[in-house]
Amino acid sequence: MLKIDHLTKTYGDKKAVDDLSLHIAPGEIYGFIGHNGAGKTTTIKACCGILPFDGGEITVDGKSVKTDPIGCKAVTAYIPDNPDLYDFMSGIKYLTFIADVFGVSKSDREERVLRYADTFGLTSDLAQPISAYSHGMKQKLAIISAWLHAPKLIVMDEPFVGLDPTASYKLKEMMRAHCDAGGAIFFSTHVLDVAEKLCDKVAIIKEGRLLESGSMEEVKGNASLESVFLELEGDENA
Amino acid sequence: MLKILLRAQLGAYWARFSGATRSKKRQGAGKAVLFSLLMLYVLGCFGFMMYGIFSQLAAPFAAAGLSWLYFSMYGLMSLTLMVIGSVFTAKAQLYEAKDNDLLLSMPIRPGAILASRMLTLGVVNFVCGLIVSVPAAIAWAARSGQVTTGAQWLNYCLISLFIILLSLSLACLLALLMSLFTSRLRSKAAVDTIVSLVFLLAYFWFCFRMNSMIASLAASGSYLAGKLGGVAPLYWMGLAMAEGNMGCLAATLAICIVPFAAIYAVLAATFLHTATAKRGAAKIKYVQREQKVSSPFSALYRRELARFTSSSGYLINAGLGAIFMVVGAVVLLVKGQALFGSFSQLPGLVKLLTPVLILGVCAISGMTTISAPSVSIEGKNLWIAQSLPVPAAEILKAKLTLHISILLPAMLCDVAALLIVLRPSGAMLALALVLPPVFVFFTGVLGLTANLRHPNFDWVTETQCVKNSMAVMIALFGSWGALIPPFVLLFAVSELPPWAVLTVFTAAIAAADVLLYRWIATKGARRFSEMK
Repeated sequence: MLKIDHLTKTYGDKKAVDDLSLHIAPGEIYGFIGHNGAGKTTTIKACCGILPFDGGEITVDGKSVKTDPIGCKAVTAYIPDNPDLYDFMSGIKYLTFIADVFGVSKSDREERVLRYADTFGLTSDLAQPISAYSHGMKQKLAIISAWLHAPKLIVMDEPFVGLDPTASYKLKEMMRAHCDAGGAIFFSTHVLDVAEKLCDKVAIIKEGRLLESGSMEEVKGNASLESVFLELEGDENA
Repeated sequence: MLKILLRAQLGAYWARFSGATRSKKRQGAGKAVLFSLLMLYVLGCFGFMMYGIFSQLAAPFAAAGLSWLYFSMYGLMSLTLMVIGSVFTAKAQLYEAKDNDLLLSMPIRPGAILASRMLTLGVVNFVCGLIVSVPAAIAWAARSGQVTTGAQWLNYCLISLFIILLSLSLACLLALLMSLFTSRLRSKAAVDTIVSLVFLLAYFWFCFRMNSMIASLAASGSYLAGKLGGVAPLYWMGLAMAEGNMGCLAATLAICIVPFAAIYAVLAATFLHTATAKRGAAKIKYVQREQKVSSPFSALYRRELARFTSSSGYLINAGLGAIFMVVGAVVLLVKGQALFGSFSQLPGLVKLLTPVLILGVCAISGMTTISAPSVSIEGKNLWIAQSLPVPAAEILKAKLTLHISILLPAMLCDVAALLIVLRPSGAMLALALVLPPVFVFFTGVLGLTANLRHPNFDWVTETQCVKNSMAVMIALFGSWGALIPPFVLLFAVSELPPWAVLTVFTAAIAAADVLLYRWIATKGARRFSEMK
């Protein structure tokens, strides 16, 4: 579903991502772990066609992000680390805007808006302006907008930040259901417990370079993901 | 602590006006000097306007023995300007400050926060007051023909300083009322827009009628003295400055100090509550309705329209030209015949009337700069537009369409009025119908191109983005600059027939339209996709 081949991105002299390769297959929840400034957000933005990159190739559902960005974006949903949405719209107007741009049919959008807004307890707030939303409510709206157009690939940057425990639980259920239905999810997180329980595969990145990747069992073995992560970070620092 | 807070408050105020950004790079010294010079120029312009008013009043009032009235007028005008100049800042700083939570979480006494905000407002009022006090004093010294004693000047200075307290009291009260009124409204932007428009129209009305108003004031000094003399505080204030009367000075200072002390005491006692009060519009419960489905382009256009209409700063500053054009069309219809009738007596000028007016409406349309900040205003929401499955060119096209859909109807009002009043025929009729729409398109593509080349996502407020950007300057002066050659040709080369000048100009603008639009759809779209 998502194939990253030798991705390289530099900012001035600094290599933010250095020859990174990953493959996320349909049905997989793929966790992306690394310390602050490791290159996670850069990679995620490049996958969504938001950030141009210097070298390598990214394909989504067989389409190149470089040569067919619109085709890639049509099957991808992106949730950034900070849900800065349109404050001048109400929740429902934002969802209608997304549905219109992604070409969601009338019956599908009505059913999905109701279903996902009910899931997150946001239905009664949909008429409120987004400027009146809390951080958590904005995050929930961003998640609903991502699921609204039934994308094949969902890319999320720290999706659990700001969510209450119930919403986090619901999101995890939705992620699993999405992948069970043949979709794929690629997300970054600092919450290693969540990654360990939720992800089918995981990649650990440091200073733009891939340290480890593979199935959860391959990466962590009998240890915890946290201890493996700390060990890999320590080895690199040594 | 108070000093640190005051420095931070004044720094933020300076940044809001000067366009200093949130980025780490410091504002260059050159830019700061330029901005200071611009501020001095603006203050100077207002100062000269005030001098013009007071210099016409000084001599007649002094000759009629109504010196106190002159100073009462000064006090009243100074107070009005200070209240108008600080009421919005008072609303934002005292009742709707966004950094209250942050400051209250620090080891700072709430009293110090309030004092710093009041002092900042005091500085704003002091600057507004200078615009009136300096010209009024100079006008009195130069035109009244009276010798002013040291005691009179001392009283003048003391009242000029203490009147700041009275203006702060009034501004705080007005700001509280406005804040309470708008806090329960859904559409704050509409209220802000209406209030701003009222102030703006009042300002232009005053400017247009200033001379006749001052003449009537100067002629009716005795009548006015009779009316204002009945208002004791105004009479005392005037007398304190005109005659150095110490009793009146004490009474005037008391009128300034007592209300301020009372309001400050109330604000200090309730500041913590005010700062932490959760105000907000009444909650609107969502009721599920049948959803309308529209095309991606229509959705993008409605997004642009919603952004434009939700921000009073964007609406007023970028859409002002369109408002002026509609007003201009009405003026043209009502007063057109009277205004242009005299031109029929001047054969040399009458043939230029229609082309000059066509170019004139084009010049006014250049004041509408909706497309110029439309890229920068995406700000922190840029990621949404960039992650949508639509070509960047479509997003830019929606921005351009908004500009045209707002400006073109206003332009057509002017064209219709022009056709009705001047009744051009032949080539000039065709040009009156073709050039304005071509120029409207030009203002749109010029603004969008400028913003794609000079984007700035590092703004603090939308108004700052709309007013203080290079793209807006380029759009404004670029569209006006384009009109200079045809104006010059019309007046300087009389051998050239006006229709020929306008035809060549229309062709040149149309060519620029095509070139700029092509750049936007290709290179501009690529730039937009890669912006960060």
